[in-house]
Amino acid sequence: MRPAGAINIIVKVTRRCNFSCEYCHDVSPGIRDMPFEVLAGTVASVLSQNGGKAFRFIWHGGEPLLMGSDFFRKAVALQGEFLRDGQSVKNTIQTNGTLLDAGFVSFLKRYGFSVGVSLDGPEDVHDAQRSMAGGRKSFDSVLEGIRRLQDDEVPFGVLSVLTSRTMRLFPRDLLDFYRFHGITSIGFLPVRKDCQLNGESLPAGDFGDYMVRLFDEWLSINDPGFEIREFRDWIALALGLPGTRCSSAATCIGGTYSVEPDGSLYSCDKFAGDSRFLFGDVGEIDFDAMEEHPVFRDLSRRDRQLPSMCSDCPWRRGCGGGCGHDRYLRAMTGESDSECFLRKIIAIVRERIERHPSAEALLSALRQKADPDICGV
Amino acid sequence: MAKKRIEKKAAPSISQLARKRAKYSCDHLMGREVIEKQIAELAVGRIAKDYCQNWDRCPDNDWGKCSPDVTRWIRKIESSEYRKVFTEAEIKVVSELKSRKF
Repeated sequence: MRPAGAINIIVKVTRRCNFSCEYCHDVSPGIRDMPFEVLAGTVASVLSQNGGKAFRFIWHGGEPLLMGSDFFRKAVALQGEFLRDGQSVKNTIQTNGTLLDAGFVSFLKRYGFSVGVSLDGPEDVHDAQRSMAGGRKSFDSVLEGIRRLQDDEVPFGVLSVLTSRTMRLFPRDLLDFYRFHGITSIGFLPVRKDCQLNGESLPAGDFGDYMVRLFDEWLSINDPGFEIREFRDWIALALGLPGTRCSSAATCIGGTYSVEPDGSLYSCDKFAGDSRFLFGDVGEIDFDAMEEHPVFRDLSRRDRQLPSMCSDCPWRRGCGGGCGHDRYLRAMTGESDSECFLRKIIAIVRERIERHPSAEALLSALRQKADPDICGV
Repeated sequence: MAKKRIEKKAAPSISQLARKRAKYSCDHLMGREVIEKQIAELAVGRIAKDYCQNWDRCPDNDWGKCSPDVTRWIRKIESSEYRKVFTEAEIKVVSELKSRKF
């Protein structure tokens, strides 16, 4: 069934990157930059949907800003050309922040883009994990980009990948770092393996424990304006409300798509490169008939198959079993029925917020949240 | 109370109408670029002090009849800019996609 909210389109405009992050496995063979024909075909095809009313284009890479502002000017122009009456479009861009010069920031502001910047925390952690190609440190350059966004009042958030190195920091120090730099919207993403199980991943228990410590510190700061997307989601789930992240807001299958630079369409960028989950060429896809597509059916079937540990979970209705791709990986590694850290966390969150002095403000912040958070953005 | 005398106004001359039309025409009043910029700023919630007060009353700004619908205006402005960013080959791609039934 098509989700009621906005349809999210993650567009991988290039696979080139000026970074060489130690945990990155986001590389794929084939076309590296998205040609105009694919960009135009993507926009035209996506906006041809009769069922969709609201669309969010999430411009992603590689490093998308390497494509230059003209590419995105054309993207906005194409949206205007193919937008139908009653449809609306939002644009979000995920960047490493180093190419956010005055011209780009002015462009993003003019066209109402919101921006996600990847920043992994304090300088020593960030630079150890996110060096530029050639090994140069990137921290100062990223902060410079963030300053430009702040100066021009462009809405932005920070995406921070949590690794075993990050988790050696005291949670309060990590939060204070962001607050010191005026960063008030953060998403924490655990480092993860790809579809072929390459790369580092965190033991779910370690990640969960650290996030609970972060949550406690965040509560003690008592500033609902200091947003952490995972906490917003957990509070919603703990209160029996719909979740606010892609995996828990029922916006995953049919609500999120990912397009590669060559036009290959997947359900989500986590599945990119795995031919079993390829819908086909975005320019040839009939989105209105998507539910009949064999890959869509397969994903929907997998999504409904929850592990047995979910059967007696009180939070199952809101959580929906969590991220389908994470479950898919756990099944591959035989960890399907290992302990669920989210179940523990939500129970703890419920207990913590029960009598919290800012409970009303926390609820109010939840109500203001219009679009679900997509985990890689 | 004395009645106020109402003077009957003479019908405007063609030259008066032409001047009025010029006054409310965006192209004549401030220049199209300025109006475009102002409306784009309006879209993000910023109204400049020198904001043209006539844009939603303009009888004809060469894009057809003016509309107070800001969203429509913004789309119109953007589409006028499209031609500035696309190459001839890209315009052809867009035209082909438009003629195609998805």
